[in-house]
Formats: sequence, structure tokens, C-alpha cells
Amino acid sequence: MTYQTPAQSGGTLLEVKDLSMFYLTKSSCVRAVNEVTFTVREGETFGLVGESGCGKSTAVRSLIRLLPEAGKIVSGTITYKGQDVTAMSEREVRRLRGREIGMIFQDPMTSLNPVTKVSKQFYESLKAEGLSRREMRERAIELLRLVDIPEPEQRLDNYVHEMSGGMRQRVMIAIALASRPKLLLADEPTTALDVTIQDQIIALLNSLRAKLGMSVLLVTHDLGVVNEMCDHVAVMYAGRIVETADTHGLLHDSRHPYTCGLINSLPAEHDTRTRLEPIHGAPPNLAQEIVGCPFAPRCPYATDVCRSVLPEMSEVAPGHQVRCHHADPTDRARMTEPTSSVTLQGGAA
Amino acid sequence: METLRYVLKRVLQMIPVLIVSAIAIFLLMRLLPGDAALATLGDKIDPEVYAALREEMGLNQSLWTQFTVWVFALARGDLGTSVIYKIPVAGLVASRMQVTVLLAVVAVVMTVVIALPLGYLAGAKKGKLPDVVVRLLALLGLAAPSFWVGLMLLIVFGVRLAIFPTSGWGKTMGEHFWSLILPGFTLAFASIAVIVRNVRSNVVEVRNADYVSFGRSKGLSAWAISTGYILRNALIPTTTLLSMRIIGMLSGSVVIENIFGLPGIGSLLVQAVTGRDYAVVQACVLVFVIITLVVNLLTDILYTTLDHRIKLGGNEA
Amino acid sequence: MSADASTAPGLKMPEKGKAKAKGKGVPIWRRSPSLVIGAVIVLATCVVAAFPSLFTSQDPLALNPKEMLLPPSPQHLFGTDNFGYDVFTRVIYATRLDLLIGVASAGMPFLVGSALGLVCGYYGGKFDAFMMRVLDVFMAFPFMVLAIAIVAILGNGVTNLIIAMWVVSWPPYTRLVRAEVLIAKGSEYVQAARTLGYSDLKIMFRHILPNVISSSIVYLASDIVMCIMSAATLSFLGLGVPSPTPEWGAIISGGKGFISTAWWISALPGLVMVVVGLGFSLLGDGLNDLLRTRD
Repeated sequence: MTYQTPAQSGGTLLEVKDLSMFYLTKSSCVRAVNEVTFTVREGETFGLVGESGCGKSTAVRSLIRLLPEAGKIVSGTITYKGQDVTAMSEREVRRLRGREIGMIFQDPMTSLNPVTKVSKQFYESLKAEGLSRREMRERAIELLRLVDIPEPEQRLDNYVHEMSGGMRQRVMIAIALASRPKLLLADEPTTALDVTIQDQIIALLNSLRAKLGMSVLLVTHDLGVVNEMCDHVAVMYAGRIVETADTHGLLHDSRHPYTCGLINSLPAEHDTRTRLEPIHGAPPNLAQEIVGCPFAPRCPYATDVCRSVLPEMSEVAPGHQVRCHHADPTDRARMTEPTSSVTLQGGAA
Repeated sequence: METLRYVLKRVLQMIPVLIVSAIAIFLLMRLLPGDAALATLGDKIDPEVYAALREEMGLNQSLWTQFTVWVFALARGDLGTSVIYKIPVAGLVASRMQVTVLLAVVAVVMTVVIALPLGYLAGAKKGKLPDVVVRLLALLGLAAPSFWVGLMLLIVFGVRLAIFPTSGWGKTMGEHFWSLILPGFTLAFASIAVIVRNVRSNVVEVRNADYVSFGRSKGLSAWAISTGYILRNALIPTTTLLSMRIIGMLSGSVVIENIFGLPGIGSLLVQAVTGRDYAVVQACVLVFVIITLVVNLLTDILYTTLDHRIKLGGNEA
Repeated sequence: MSADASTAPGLKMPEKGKAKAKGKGVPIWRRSPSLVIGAVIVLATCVVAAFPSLFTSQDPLALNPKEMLLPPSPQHLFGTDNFGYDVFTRVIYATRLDLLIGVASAGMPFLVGSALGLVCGYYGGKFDAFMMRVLDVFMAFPFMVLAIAIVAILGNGVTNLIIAMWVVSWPPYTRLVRAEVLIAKGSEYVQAARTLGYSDLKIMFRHILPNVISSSIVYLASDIVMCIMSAATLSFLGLGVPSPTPEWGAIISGGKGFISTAWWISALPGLVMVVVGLGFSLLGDGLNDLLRTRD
């Protein structure tokens, strides 16, 4: 609790600039994250969207330097409250984790230590605050109550295998929030859950954000979740951000063909389509050098320039940037009409 | 409370196994060529004396009677008399037992102290130099027969360097301990290799688990992660393996005691087999079985306290 | 190496492509060097076992009182023992017997133990419960103690040694296969086969067996070494192969009394055992890598 939140809301909390993260082994180089730039403001929920394999989880993990051995941040800066995380010592990063930036993971079934009681997993985080055992227990109960867990006193003495998936996800959130982080990284927090539980967790995260005044960086492949949670969104494809805007702008005025594809895969209310036709092909292999726009092989609008030159980010509306040579709708309209609507199959593999 | 009930249940489950084993041992002994009377007499066989002795030893009675007599004697702690030593077997086995148990303890401690750090190191540095070196050593450890390892250690440290005694186990506690180091290490040698490999592969599996990442994301120290998260989870399967190795060590002690001239039950067993000292063979095998069952029981109990996903009272798969 | 990167959820696609490439294009010695080294050692051992006379011109049973306890030299690579036997020659000629004991000792338990595990795991019920209790009793005897007891009953000799090995080494196979069958039984492919109305035999042998046998095969490689070692151990204790027959354990045992004067009698044959043991271990490791990466 050494940092103090600045009074004015909407200030920059986290700024990621030109971040590149590669998996380097003797024989290969996987460009998992490429020159990614985005900003998370205080109190907002920022969404990072894309198919599985697009590098969004890797990007989020690298924010607190939580990478496997082979993963290396090769360039760029991560500025949290004015401090560059990439330049920090291991010790400093550790102090950041949990206390400033908390994280929750995709699969609640595998993300909690199976051999220790729930209480211990709270105490590990709380110990740093110099609380007594009783105080820690009270705080843990309070936290469990915060995430709407019934009978928190009993739950504390359970092992995780004694709980359901939804319950575990709530427990994980409570543990991640134990040290009151200002920023919560949520890596696909609803993907592994049943649909009904998903809605509950989304509602919970929304209310927690409001209650605790924290920011959330949400990673998801589901634009539906984005719609319900996020203020701003960035869409990632093949390790790069291809479009970023406020949620409304992105969902209602999407410019990148990939974003359009994602949106078209959402079940719409007045949907008359009887058949969804997916984009053919798969995301590119990140272990290989990609020439031109990475989406070009799957893009119905792709031209020669797309196949040879990587498009830059360009501003199409205030705060709305797109990485596409044909981001202008009139430009696209001049091109031959694609034979079918661009859709992606809902949900990632 | 639940744990106590579980322990009781496991002890009760042990009893039939013990009874069946005792019957098996009894029958095995009857299958041995010749009989106790013959062995007592040695070379000078007088048919009349032999017949009389058979009668006296009860060898002419039915198997069933012999068995009940044996069991009742067993219940009184009477294991018969050694043909070679001419003393009651119970006392003989009891005096030998401390050597074997101490030897096993030394070996287990050495295994744990050496294998856990090495296995963790190799797993944490997978693919790097320490991993390669440790894995190579482990492979060598698996490939080397323990009786040969024992002899080599004896040649180098006993004969050439004369640091350790080459035979026997001395008189004082200090001497006992000192003379158990070489045999203890020999006995631990193969187990170290097995445990190192197991710990390594478990650590490799666990170290990138989601819950380890979650632990890291909480800002825990590297020490807390490697002990409370990685090792704690990685060692669960190792526990079972270690208990299997302890039983393996009992097997190994038979040979090792022989090489290092230690007066334990292992060497007693070999001696008894070659000398056809049936009562002693019977008693030694029984003792080995009991130790095995106790080790298994302790492992199961330890296992359930380590991993609460195991349902108490459930049969092990 | 690829295991590292594949744990990052963001990298599933490219890794999958890589794994495929790994399975097809890369030569076997790159994919699993230990398999190749192990196979070479095991093959070489087999050649020595088949044609011992190619590797030494001397007679393993030729007593030579004039050349007792000679240290290693070009004439006697491993020196000579107290009878004047050439140790190297005896080690070479012992290869066939030791290998035979190892394969014969492990082969039968592999077949019978695995089959029992398959049946127990698949049908479960009373037979399974009974077999598990039998297994408990067998497991209650330390390996070597039971082997010694059996050899004591049957008497010395190669056949009896192998029978003793059979009796003591089947339980791990049964346990291993049974545990895997229990897992496989709940899997979707078996459920699917059931729904299609396949017979039990067909499901067991066509669907389950190929999926569960790999761990048993991997264990077999290490079990052969264990059987060779255990057999040698029994011979070392004087309870196995009777004395003039060349056998590794017996040869090493012969040097027991001479560790201060003629170390080579015990030391050098042991090194040969280490190399052979290493070969089988590497082979087992390689098989493990190869068979397990498929799923």
C-alpha cells in the first residue's frame, strides 16, 4: 500500500508502448507479441480481443513479466504509474504483482494450488501486510463475502477440489483482490465456465470494479463479454493490434475486416442468416516471418499491397485506430462485393 | 477423527494380507527340499535318529496341525530355534533387525537429501546444463548393479583410502553410524537415480501449471513458489515411489549386508537359506513382510495428509 | 523445448504446426538421440551374445594355473582371476546367458501381467477385487526376499532363476495396465465403441490395448535391466547360476575375496553391466519420448 491513487479519475494507469515479446529458442523465434501499444485508464475496463493463439494472453502475462523461460521482451515499454516495468528488478516486479496488479486466470479448475487450504492461499498474499492470523482470517472472510460466496467461514477451511468451477473462479478473484490491486488482469475469466455462471462472473467483475475503483484489463475472444464489460477495446491478430477504439465505436463502426468477422459471428437479435460461413484458413504461424498484412490470406478485400506491405495504424475517428490498407468503407465499397459475408466461427478453438 | 478411522481401517485391511502371507510362508517352507530334521542332523544321517527327530519336531503330523502349532507359537513370540546358532530365533532376529532398520534409515535419509535438490534443480533448469548432468548421473545410477557399486566403494574408500571399515559394524553407536555410511550410500544409489528422475519430471510438469502462474501473479517469493507450489505438488507422486523404493531397499539390504559384512536380517536370511536353517528363513521372511506392510501403511497415511483430493477410506486404485 | 512455449495459451496454433513437422520430417536421431544410442548399445550386446567367439579367441572355461590374478594387459584385457580364467573372455561368453535371462525373465510377466491388468481393469468386479488382494500379498514380499525364497525351494540353476523372476516381476505390469485401462474405460472412444455395440474382446484388444500398452512397453525396457541385475545379484549371492558357468554376477562375486589385491576381477565386468544397463535405460527413455508424444 505504498502507492496512492491520484484523485482525478481517468488518468493513465498503465501504458504499453511498442511492446514486442518473442519466444526464443535455439532453433526458432515465435513472434507472439508485436509492437503492441495500448493504454489502460484508471477505473476503466479495457478489453484485449482475439482468437486463441493471437498473442493476447502472452501480452497480458508479460505486463507483470510472468513468462516462461523462452519468452523474452525484446522491445517496448510497459509504464505502470510512471515506472517502467521492463526495467524493474525481479524484486520490484514481485512487489508490483498482487499488490498493484492482480491477475486471474482462465481455468478455475487448475489455477488454484490443490494441496493447500483456501485460507492459506489468502494468507500468502496478506502476510506481506503484517496482519495477525486473526486479522488475516477476518480479511479473507470479508473478501469471500465481497465475491458473494455463501458461508465464507466454512469455505476458508476447504480445499479447492471441494468446490465447483464457478465457486473456484470467485475464490480466485477474491484471492487476487486480497491486496487491493489497482489493476486486475483477467485472462479469459469466463471462458471455462457454464453460460449461466459466466453472466454471474461478468456481473461480479463489473460491480467489483465500481466498488473498489480499480481498472480491469480483460482478455477475451468473446465480443459479447466485451460489450458487457469494456470501455475501450483493442483487437489483436497474429500478435499485433489491428484495431482499437471505445467499445461502442468498435462494435458499431468496425473498420478492420477481421473485427467485422468477429462481430458477424455474434448471434444478432434480428438475424435472418440461416448459415454462417467462416473465413477459410487459419491464423498465420507466428514462428515464420510474415510479409504484408497478417490477415491478408484470409481477407476478402486483400489486394497486392496488403500482401506485401504491413499497414500502419491510422486514425479513422477520434480514438479509433485501424491497421488496414482499406479501412475506409467507401474505398472498400468500390471493390468488388465479396460473395459472402465475412464471419468467423463463434468462439475460439 | 476421520484420519484415525482411516488408519484403523487400513490396519484392519492389513491383517488378511498378513495372514495370507504367513500361510504362504509356511507352505513355502514345507516345499523346501529336505526338512528341518535333516538340516539339524547335517551329514551324519542315522535313519533311526532321523525318524525320532522328525517325530519330536512334529513333522509327522498333518500340515494343518503343524500350521496351528506354528501359529500358536508365533502368537507367544516363539519362532523356533536356529539350527546354526542354537539359540531362539526370536532373539536372533530381533538383535539383527536394528542393523537393517538403521541401514534403511540411513539410506532413506541419503536418498531424500541428495535426490530432492538434484531433481528440483534438473526440473527447474530443464534442458540446461545442470539438467543434462543430473540426468546423465541418474541414468548411470540406474544402470549400475548395486552389489557392484558396493564393491567399488569398498575398494576405493575401504581398501585404498581406508576411510571406512571394510566389514562389520563396530561396537559403539559412533562406529555403527560410521560403518553404515558406505552401505547406506550403496543402498541409496539406485533409489537416488529413480527419485531424481521422478522429481525432475514432476517438477517439469508442475512448474508451468496454472496455479504456479497464479501464485507468481500474487507476488510470492521464488522460495515460496518453489517450495509451497512446485515441490509441494511435485512430491505427491514421489511419496508413493519413495515408499516403493524403501521396500526395494529391503531387497537391496540382503545383498549390501552381505558385501559389507553387516549383521542384519538380510545377511541372516542368505545364511539361513544356504544353511537350511528353516526356522530362521521363515522368521526373516515374515519380518520383511511385516516391515513392508508397515511402510505401505505409513505411506498411505502420509499420502492422504499431503493430498486431500484422495478420499479418506477409499480403496487405493 | 517446445513444451515451454506451448504452455502459453497464446501460442497454440503455431506450436501445433511445429509438433506436426517434428513428427514427420525430423530424422529419428534428432527426435530422440537416447533411443538411437540405447538401440545401438542393445544391438551391439545382442551381437556379442550371438557371436561371442568373434570378440575373443580364448576359452571361457580354460583353467590356466600359470596365469593367476594377472592385472589387465593386452593379452588379458580384464586380467585373470584366481583360477587363471581370462575375465574378459568370461564376460563376453556370459553376455548370451545374462541377456537370455533378462529377456526370458521379463517377457513372460510382461505378457501375463499386462493381460491380467487388462482383464481386471476392464471387467472389474469380484475377479478384479480378488486379483488385487493377490497382488497385495505379492507386493508384501520384498522382491529379492521372495526371489531368494523361491530359489531356495527350487534350487540353483538358470531355469529356476527365471521362474523366480517370473513370480516376482508380474505385479507392476498388472498394476500399470489396470490403472491405464480404468482411465481409458471412461474415455470417449471407448464409450463410442460401446455405443456401437462392439464385443468386449474387440473393445479390449482393438481399442483399449493399443492405448494402454505403451507404458507397459516402456516399463519392459527397464524391467529387462532389472531382471538382469536381480539375476546377477542372486548369482552374486551364490543362489543363481552355478559356479563354473560364466555369468556376470558370478564373475563379480568371484572377485569379492580379492578386492585388495585384484580389483579388476570385480570392477571391469561391472563396467560392462553398467554399459548394457545404460543401453536398455536409454532405449526405455527413448521409447517413452516417442510413444508418449503421440497423444
